[in-house]
Amino acid sequence: MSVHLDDLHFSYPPISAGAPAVEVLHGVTLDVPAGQSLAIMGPTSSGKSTLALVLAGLAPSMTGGVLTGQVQVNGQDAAATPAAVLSASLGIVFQEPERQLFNMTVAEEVAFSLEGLALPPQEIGERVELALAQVGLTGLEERSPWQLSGGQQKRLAIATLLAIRPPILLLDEPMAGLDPAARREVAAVLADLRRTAAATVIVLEKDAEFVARWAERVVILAAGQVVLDGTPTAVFTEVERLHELGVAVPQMAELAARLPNLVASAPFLTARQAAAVLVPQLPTLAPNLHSPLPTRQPPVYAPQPAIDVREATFRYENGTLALDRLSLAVPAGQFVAILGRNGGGKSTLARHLNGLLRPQSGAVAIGGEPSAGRRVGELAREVGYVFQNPDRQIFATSVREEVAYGVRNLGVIGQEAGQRVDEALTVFDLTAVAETPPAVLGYGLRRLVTLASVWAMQPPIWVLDEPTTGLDVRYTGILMDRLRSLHERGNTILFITHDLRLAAEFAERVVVVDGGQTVLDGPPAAVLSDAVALSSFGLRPPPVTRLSALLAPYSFPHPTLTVEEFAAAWSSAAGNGER
Amino acid sequence: MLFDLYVHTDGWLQRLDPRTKIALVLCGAALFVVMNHLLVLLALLVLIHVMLLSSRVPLRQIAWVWRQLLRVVIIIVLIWPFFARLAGPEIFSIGPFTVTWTSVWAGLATATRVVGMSLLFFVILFTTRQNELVRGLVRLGLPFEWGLTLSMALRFIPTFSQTAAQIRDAQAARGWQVDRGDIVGRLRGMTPVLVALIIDVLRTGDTLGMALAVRGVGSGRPRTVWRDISLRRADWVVLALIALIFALLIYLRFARGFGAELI
Repeated sequence: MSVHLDDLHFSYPPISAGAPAVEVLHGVTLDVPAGQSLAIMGPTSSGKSTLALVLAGLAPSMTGGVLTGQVQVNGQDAAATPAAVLSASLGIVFQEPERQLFNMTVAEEVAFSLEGLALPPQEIGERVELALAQVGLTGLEERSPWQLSGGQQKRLAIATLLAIRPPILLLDEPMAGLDPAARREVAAVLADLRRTAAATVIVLEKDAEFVARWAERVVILAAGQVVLDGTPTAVFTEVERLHELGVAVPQMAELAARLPNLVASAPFLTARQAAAVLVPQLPTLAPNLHSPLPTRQPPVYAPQPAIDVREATFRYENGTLALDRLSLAVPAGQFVAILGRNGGGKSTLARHLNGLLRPQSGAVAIGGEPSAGRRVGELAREVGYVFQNPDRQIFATSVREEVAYGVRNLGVIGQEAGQRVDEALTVFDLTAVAETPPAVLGYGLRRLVTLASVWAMQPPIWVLDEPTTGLDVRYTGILMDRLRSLHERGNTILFITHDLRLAAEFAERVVVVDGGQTVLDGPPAAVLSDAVALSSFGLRPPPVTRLSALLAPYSFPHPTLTVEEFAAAWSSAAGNGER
Repeated sequence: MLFDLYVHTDGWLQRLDPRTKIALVLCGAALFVVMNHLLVLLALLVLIHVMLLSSRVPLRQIAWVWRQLLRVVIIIVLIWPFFARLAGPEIFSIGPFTVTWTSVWAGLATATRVVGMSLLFFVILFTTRQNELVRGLVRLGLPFEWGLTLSMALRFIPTFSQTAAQIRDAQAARGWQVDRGDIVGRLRGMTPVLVALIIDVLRTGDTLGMALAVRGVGSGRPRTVWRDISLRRADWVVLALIALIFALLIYLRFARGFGAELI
């Protein structure tokens, strides 16, 4: 056994003296055989990250807290072995690569771990070369780690561990914060590890599509216990259970659960597998398949655009051209999803909308008025900006203070300010934690605090920069639900995301930004189904759209953008067929 | 450029072992302290420029140092003559202040020392990779953990400054502006940025501690060094030259009074 857990309990020390200890693992029992590729999934606060720290020998030694039960990692007692010694048996990659890379060059970053093993310089050189080749970073040896892209940093962090050649590798959310292209790079490295089975690989991950493709075995952790354990197919068939737990499910598994009369000859987790199962059943539906999809009503907008960017050009001091004569007009009340590679100009565009950056040529108008000459603080009345990382703004001593901060800066005082804050706290279910310091809350709640603080400012335009990064299904659901209600009230929403499923479900318009320009722009059905165009910008249509494309030759309606649409098309055909 | 001062060109200073350069800088600084003659100090200053330029450090890099020091230099040159009160040919006097030529030369000499010693410091920063500098200090006896801490401090300066910029943006988007007014008011105005930054620094420190542990720091085992620095023939030649010239100048200074007087 690589890893042997028996009735593992772990509790953190109380936050303040006198408070009860916080038990996060309640009797985890788990055996992982050598060479297995295991994915552990679970909602926020399921105890996943704590389990990772325990396995790496970092908890309780560096976190404090009490551990009972057995933890054996490669035959060693993880609770009693110093982390530095255990690191030869189990290597761990943390979520944020920028906090675990601390050398001046890529090659030295990898060599650092090996110097600690006291290997001779000659062998260090060989292992550095090999580890960088394994993650596809050959040629970047002399670059600074912090000048790499997000995907490259993740792969470098993996290389620093591969070089040690531990029998067990543990990765905490390897896909977090990466764009789809970078996810595929990291997935390729992990697939390679699985193929060679050189090590036991344990991945803690929220990305169900990746887990479905990669893992041999999936373990679902909820409230500190193992609740499901099996092959991806077996686990992801429990769609309803997973929804209840707040665990993401691959879109195809969701679809399988929604199709009535489905003769499931084999379970499916990917679009290709789904097509193999569904195509043979199409002839029975065929006569009724011509029923066109209910078209989404094109909404009617006010003539005045809320956001009007004209030929905006922006070049950073280091010479990077981030916006290249970009134009984008957004009518008031529209819900726009902005997609595209990291570094393509999405965030730079967003920062032009509230005046954090100003175009070097071209113009930006907000609410019909040029933004030039208006300070960021003034534009804050009209443009609410939700940053990617909630911790960039959280500073106050209580959630209430944090939410009130922006309102007060707008000059709103007295009763009205109090009402707005109370309303925002209620809308985001934060009333119970109103007096808690926001910095000690979990990540999902910290995200809600930042949303509430913008909500209270009541801006007509919302700009959100990858707001769902790091959120589990439940918090993503809360976020999207509140955005939908803002949209229904006539607010303009600009939503930057890497999640094409969310874009397909919520947006009225999809814009792809690449190379500082808008390269694709149109209704979701047009943009998200254009696999060829999307692929040149590192994107792929959502699985259900890929599936309808595969079924289109059999006159199945295409494109379907959501599970609901597909299921509706399928069941209306099937229902008619029975009649 | 602000954070990675190393000049990525291949010059003779860049090729030297960091320890050689540390010796060079220490001896140079000592000369700036013991020499008093204005012309000798100016000659040393010129020599530093020659070294930097001959080692392909671009002029604009040197000009950048000058720009940073300009204000200090001007203040010294203007103020010094009023307070030095050195005896000598009088230029003019206002109230209690008598300005002499000697005091003016003394001001210039002090300014030359400040610029010279700063430039010496930048000789190291411009021509040495940070990790080699740290390695050099460790080889000179600094404990490994101290060296690691120093190099990580250097490494995380740009990261934290980037974080601070992001926090400023995030607070500005909620209507934050630094209060006009006195220093206390301004400091209080910085709270939303400082608190968020401190929380980030603490979180980073936590993760970093763990990241170091899982990469074997603190295991108590001895470490090896992948690309160690070494003193090559050129280093020995330069070290010998430094020793010779330094010894000669110190002998002249203290036995013969060379450069002992201001003028």
